[in-house]
Amino acid sequence: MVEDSQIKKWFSEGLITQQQAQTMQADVVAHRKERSSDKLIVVISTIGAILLGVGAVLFVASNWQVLSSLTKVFLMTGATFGVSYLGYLFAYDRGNLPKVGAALLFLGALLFGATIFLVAQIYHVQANSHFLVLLWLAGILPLVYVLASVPIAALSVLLLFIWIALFLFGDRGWASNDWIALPVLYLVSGVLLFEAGGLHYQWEKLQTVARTYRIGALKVGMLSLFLLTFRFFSGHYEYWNPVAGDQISPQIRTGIALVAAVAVLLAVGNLLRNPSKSETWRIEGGISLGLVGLALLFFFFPSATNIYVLIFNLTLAGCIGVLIAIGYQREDIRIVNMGMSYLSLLVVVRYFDFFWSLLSRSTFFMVGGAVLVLGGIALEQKRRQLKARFSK
Amino acid sequence: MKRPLLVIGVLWACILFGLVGIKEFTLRTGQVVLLKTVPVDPRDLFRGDYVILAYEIGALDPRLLGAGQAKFAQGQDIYVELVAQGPYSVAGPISHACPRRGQFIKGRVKTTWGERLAVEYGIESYFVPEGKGSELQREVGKTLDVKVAVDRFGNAAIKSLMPSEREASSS
Repeated sequence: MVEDSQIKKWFSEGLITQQQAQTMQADVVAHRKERSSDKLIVVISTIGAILLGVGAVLFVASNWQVLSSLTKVFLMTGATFGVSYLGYLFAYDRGNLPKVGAALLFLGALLFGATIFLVAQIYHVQANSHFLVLLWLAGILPLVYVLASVPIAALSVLLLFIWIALFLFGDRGWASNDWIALPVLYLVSGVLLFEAGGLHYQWEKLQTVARTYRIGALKVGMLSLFLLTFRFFSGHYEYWNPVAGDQISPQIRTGIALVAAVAVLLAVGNLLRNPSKSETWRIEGGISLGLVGLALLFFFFPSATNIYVLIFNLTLAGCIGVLIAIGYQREDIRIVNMGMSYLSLLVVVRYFDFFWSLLSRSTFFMVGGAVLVLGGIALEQKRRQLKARFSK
Repeated sequence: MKRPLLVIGVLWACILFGLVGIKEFTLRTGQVVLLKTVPVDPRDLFRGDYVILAYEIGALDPRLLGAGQAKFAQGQDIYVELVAQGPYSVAGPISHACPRRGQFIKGRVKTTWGERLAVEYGIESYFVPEGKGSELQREVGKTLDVKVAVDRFGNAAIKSLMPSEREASSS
C-alpha cells in the first residue's frame, strides 16, 4: 500500500495533481481503517473461541455427573462437528463471515481435543497419557494444511511440545532422570520445526503456516537455550553431572539422535533450495546446524568441567544478536522484541550469578536496580523507535 | 475445500468412535476380574481429579513368577497370567509373548529396581467428579477393590471401584 510520505513526494515533484493526491490519501486512510477493523474482529473472535474452548475443557475436567456419560459424549461430539460445520459455512460455503468462520473452525479444533479427553475420562484411560495428545494433534494437523489456519497451526505447535514433554514424563515417571534431557530435546526439536517451517515456504498457500511454525520454533529454541545456560542443566557438580553416565535412558538418547538427524536433513534441504527466498538463509541454516551439533556434542560427550555453561551462554548471546540483526533488517518488530526480551533476561540472571556473592547486599540491589531501570528505559526507547520506523 | 474437510470430519469420527469402540470392546467382551489396589490423589491437566491406583499386580518379582531366563527392561510389553485366589486375581507366570490360553493381562514395564519390576496396565487412573478426590483421599492406605474387564488380547478397562470386600467383612 502507498504511504502518505510517498503521495506528498509525488505531489511535490508534480507527478500527481492535488485532487489525485487527496483521493489517494482518502483511499489510504480507508484502507488502514479496514485493516484495523479486520484485526479487531480476528482478535475478538479468536479470544471468544479460546474462552469457549477453555470452558469446554473445564466442563470435561469438572466431570459433571448430572448428565450420563453417553449424553456428555453426544453433546461434545455434536458441539465439535456443529461448530466446525458452522465455521465452514461462514468462512467458505457462504463466505459472508470469513473471520468469524475461521474462529469457529479453531474452536472446533479445541472441542475435538476436549471430546477426546472426555471419552478418555469416561473410560478411565491413563492420566497424562501422551497418546491422547498425539491423537488430538493427528486430528487437527490435516486442518492446518487444508485451511492454512494460523491459530490451528499455533495449537499444533503447542500440542507437539506438550506431547514431547508428556512422552518423557507420563510414561516413565519421576524416578528416571530423563527430564533433565528435556531442554536438549526441545532445542533439537525446535531446530527441526524451524527447518520444517522453512520448507513450507515452498507452497504459496502455506506461507502463514510456515511463519507460525518458525515463530513457535524460535520461542521454544530460545527458551531451551536459555535453560541450558544454567549450570543445573549443562554444568558439572562434584557428585553429579546431569547428562553423564547412565542417568539418561537409551530411548531418550536414540530419540535425540533421530530428531537431530531429521533436523540436519531439513536444514541441508533449506540451505540447498532456500524456499523462503530469505536473504539470510545461509546464516539461519548455519545456526541450525551449529545448534544441533552443539546439542549433540554436549549430550553425548559431557564434560567434567563447566565449559558447556560458558559455551551455551555465548551461544545464546550470539543468537540474541542474530535475532535482533535479522529482525532489524527485515523490519520485523516481533523478532526484535524476542531478541530484546532474551537480552534483558540474560543480563538479569547473569548479574545475579556473578555479583550476588561479590557485592554487599545493599550495593547489589542498588546497582542492579539502577542497571535495570536505565537498561529498561534504553531498550524501550530503542524498541519504540524501531516499531515506529517499521510501521511507516 | 468441501471434500478435504469431509475427509477430516471422517478422520475425527474414526478417532473418537475408535477410542470409544476399543474400550467398549474390552468392557463388553472382557472377562471380569477383581484386583486389589490402594489409592492416591492428584489432578490431570485436561480431565480434572483422579485417583492413582497402585495395584498389587503392579509390583512383580520375575524370580517368583516363572519368568525363567527372560529379562524385562523399561518400556517393554509384559503379559501377566492372572491366577484366582479367593475372590481376587493375583499375578501368575509372566512372559514377553502373549499366552495362548488362560486369563492374562497386558502391561508395560515402567521401571525396574534390582530384579523387581514396576508394571502399568493402563488402568492406574480412576477419574472422579471435581472435589470428590478428597473423599477418596481419606481412603489412602486402605485397600480398594477394582472390577476390571480384560479382553482376549489382554487389554484392560476399569468397570467399577469399591471398598475392599475383605476389609468390609472384617470390620
